[in-house]
Amino acid sequence: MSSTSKPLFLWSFFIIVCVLVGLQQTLLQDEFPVETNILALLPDNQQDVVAQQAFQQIAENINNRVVFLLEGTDKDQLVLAAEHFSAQLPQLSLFSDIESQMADAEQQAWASLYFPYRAQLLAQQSKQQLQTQAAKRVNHVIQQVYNPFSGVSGGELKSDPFLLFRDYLSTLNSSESNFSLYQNYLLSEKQGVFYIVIQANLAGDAYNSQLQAKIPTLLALEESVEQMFHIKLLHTGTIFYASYGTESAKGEISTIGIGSLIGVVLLLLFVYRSALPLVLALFSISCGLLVAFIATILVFGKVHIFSLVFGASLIGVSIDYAFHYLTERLVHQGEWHAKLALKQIFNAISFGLITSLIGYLGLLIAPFPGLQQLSLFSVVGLTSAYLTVVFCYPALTQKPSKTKVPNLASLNLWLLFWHKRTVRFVVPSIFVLLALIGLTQIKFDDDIRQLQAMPSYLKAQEQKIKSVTGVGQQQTLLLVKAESEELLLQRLEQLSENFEQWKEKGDIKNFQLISQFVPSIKTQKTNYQQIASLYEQQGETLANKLNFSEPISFDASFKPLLVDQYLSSVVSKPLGFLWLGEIAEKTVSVVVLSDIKKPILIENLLNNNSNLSVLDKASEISTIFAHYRVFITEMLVAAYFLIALLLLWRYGFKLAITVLTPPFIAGLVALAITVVFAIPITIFNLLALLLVLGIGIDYTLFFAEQKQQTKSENTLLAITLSAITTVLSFGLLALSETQAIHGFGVTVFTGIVVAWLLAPLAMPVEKRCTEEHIQ
Amino acid sequence: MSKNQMVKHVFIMLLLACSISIPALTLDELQQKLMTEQLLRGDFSQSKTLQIFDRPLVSKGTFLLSHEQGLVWQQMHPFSVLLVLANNKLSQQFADQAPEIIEAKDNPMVFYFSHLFLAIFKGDLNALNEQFELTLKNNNEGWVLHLKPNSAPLNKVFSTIEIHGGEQINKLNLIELNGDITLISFTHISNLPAQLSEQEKDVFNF
Repeated sequence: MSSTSKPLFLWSFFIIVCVLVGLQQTLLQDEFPVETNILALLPDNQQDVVAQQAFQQIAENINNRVVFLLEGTDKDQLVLAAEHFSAQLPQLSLFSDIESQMADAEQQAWASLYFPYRAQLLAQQSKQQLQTQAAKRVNHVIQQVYNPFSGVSGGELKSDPFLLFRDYLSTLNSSESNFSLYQNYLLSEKQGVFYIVIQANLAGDAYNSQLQAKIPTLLALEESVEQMFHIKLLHTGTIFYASYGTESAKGEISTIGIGSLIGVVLLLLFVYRSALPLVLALFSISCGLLVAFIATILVFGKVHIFSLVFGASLIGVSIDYAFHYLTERLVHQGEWHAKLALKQIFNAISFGLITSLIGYLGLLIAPFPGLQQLSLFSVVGLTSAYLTVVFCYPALTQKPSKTKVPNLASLNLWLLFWHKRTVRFVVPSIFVLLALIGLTQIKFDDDIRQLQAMPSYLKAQEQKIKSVTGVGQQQTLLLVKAESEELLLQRLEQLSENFEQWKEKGDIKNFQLISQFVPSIKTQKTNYQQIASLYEQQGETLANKLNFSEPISFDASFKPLLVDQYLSSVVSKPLGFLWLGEIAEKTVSVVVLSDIKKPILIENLLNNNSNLSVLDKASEISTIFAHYRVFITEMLVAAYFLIALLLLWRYGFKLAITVLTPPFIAGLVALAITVVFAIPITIFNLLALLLVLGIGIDYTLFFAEQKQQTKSENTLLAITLSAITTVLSFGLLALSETQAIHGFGVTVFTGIVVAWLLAPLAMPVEKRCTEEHIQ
Repeated sequence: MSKNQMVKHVFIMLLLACSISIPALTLDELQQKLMTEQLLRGDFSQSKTLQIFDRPLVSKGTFLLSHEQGLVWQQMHPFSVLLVLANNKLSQQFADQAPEIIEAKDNPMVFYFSHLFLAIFKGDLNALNEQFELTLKNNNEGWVLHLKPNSAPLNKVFSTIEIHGGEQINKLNLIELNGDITLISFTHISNLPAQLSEQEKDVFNF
């Protein structure tokens, strides 16, 4: 085996192993190992373990809900539609649980849960009444008994002579929504239009791709119901947004991946006009992507779809090394020697790789899974592409190129332009100036919503459903901690007083907490005493006025109602998840506040209460983004510094400057261009700058490492080819719907173009005299 | 035949003729009949016989039933209470005190029963069909409609509800499973004046 084919065989063997591993990890698994949940990208909340766990539990619960709203003008048609729809839904195997009708058992469930504890339960208004005017309660009962509308039966009077329990039940059941039961469905009417709500719980995670795959069948069912019964069917739920995100990301990967690939193929065919370079180039790209994919799965378990999107653009980057080699082959037709050619460009591409790696490796440090994955994917991908070139190309390109050398006259002109001294100063300076002007106007935005595509048709349905059901448009989650269940309930009751005041003033729309359904033992004891004294003081009067045959006596013993009993009843289905139980030795519960009009109220509340915090993942993430934005800037500066040292070592001061300047200016301009396109600077733009540095410096390095014999225009050809492919792949990213990716694409696109424009600055100038002499 | 025998004959024939001429009503016909009277006024007397009470509770007063607007229930004896049931609102006024107003969405339980009562009072058989099995029996005085509840929560409380009537409804009998009975009788029923007076309309505006 010759020395050129040994590495080829070794590498090929390695690649085959990777393919096998790849097959095992993808096709042989139940689920394709691609992660679509954005939150999986993010670092955990290290400071607040309770908040982290609380958020996860709540998110699981909320994410699994789907709400359907049926809308129509004929009440009975609507009911028929609801019946048909809820009968068909279970067949989709999408839901574990569907609530359409309030079963009789459920309606009675409230009463059956609380009835045994009625001696300890009092409605707020009853409490006030009993404190100040207990005697009036007697009159109230008498009125109710005589009232034909009240439905007071003998049985009820016997077990609850003061009719306190029915008052208590009605406070539990009163809702802000306008729904009432019609034929056991939750029906509402507004301006002549009727609405029925059906809720369902997913049989799994909203980000599970197998479940998402069932959505088209669901949509088909919805459409058929709409047509059959002449009604409108709306839906909302995390799974719809997640599915949209997945589809759009998949679409973008295809567009970018295929677009880049086609661009590369066309370019290769146009320039090299031969199959071999094309095959070699594709081979290098594939190896790069394959090994990167495998490595990421092995390390992280799953590849995030975000990494795949960025990875698709890796195509345009990893091909730089291939281009350099293939261009050498193209222009050295007569005197072609594969191994020698590799030696010529070895330094250039090796340094190119090292400088790119310096840029990416820094990202592995931070405990930010998204960045780590990106970094690993890119580092492994680039290295594998490089190794493919180094190990395989010489063995596969023993024969020289037969293609006619392309006419590089236009490139030559461009290079001559750069020979002029003035040009070498003026052009970069102009760019610097423009960049500096732009930089004064840049804006920052760390909002996580940058990462999410919010399709308007889904958002509209969500808003409609929220407004019909009376749920506020914005929900704020408050995390409340305490040492025990009882203390937590008491704390919730105290908070409840505040919230009630806010609600009355209209500062918030509504609030929900568990203490509304399970009073603290302290409160239950107080109620018990109040009720006992009511019986004592007024029992006789009531018995006389109504001609009771037996005296009224109070013989209930105190037995506290606990949270567990509430949670095991079917009535806790909608809100039971607010009780998180024990986390890290504290008892924790969540309060939901809807539509807060005055955020300052929450701030004040938080300032006075260390056991209270807002569970706001979005702003938590935005804080994280801001923090990492600074981190990446630091990494960027460190990268420039390290690379500068490397260059100084290799080239000495003057050349090092010329090598570093174009990518540096390119970076400045890329930042400044965001102003022109009205893109705010995010963590992603800064990541883009890392890329601009890594790629841009390849161009100047190729010039700097240019051997004596090599003509500058050949180098320029190689660089131009790489620039075109890079620009293609990142330019396609700029088409993304997701703000962050769009910004990323624009930044890289601009940076690469400027880097390419300024690259000839590093061109060996000694040649100038020789060139001019020849002319 | 003697003169006496002849008189007896005629008498019997007249009697037969009379009994034949009282028509037997069907449910549909009854529904029609009850729905034609859109506005009724009269007196009521309610008697509640509950096991836990020594003596029945009796109340008396006047009522106004408007199919369009709702029901006004003015109790005079043993104490004065004015109850007005409009579409989704209920007003209770005890003696001279301020009226207490309850809305359906705040207290669905109360309205559940009051809507039911209103449907019974109006004779709205369509609405009653959903919750009850209806059986109509004719007798000498007129007809009796038996309502047997077919679902919760009613079937856990009532064993049967009877509506007695002739030209209009004149008695409601609510019989509970435990034997408790609420009996409401209506007297002096008139469908004139056929329009609500300004004062009466005002009562419904609250």
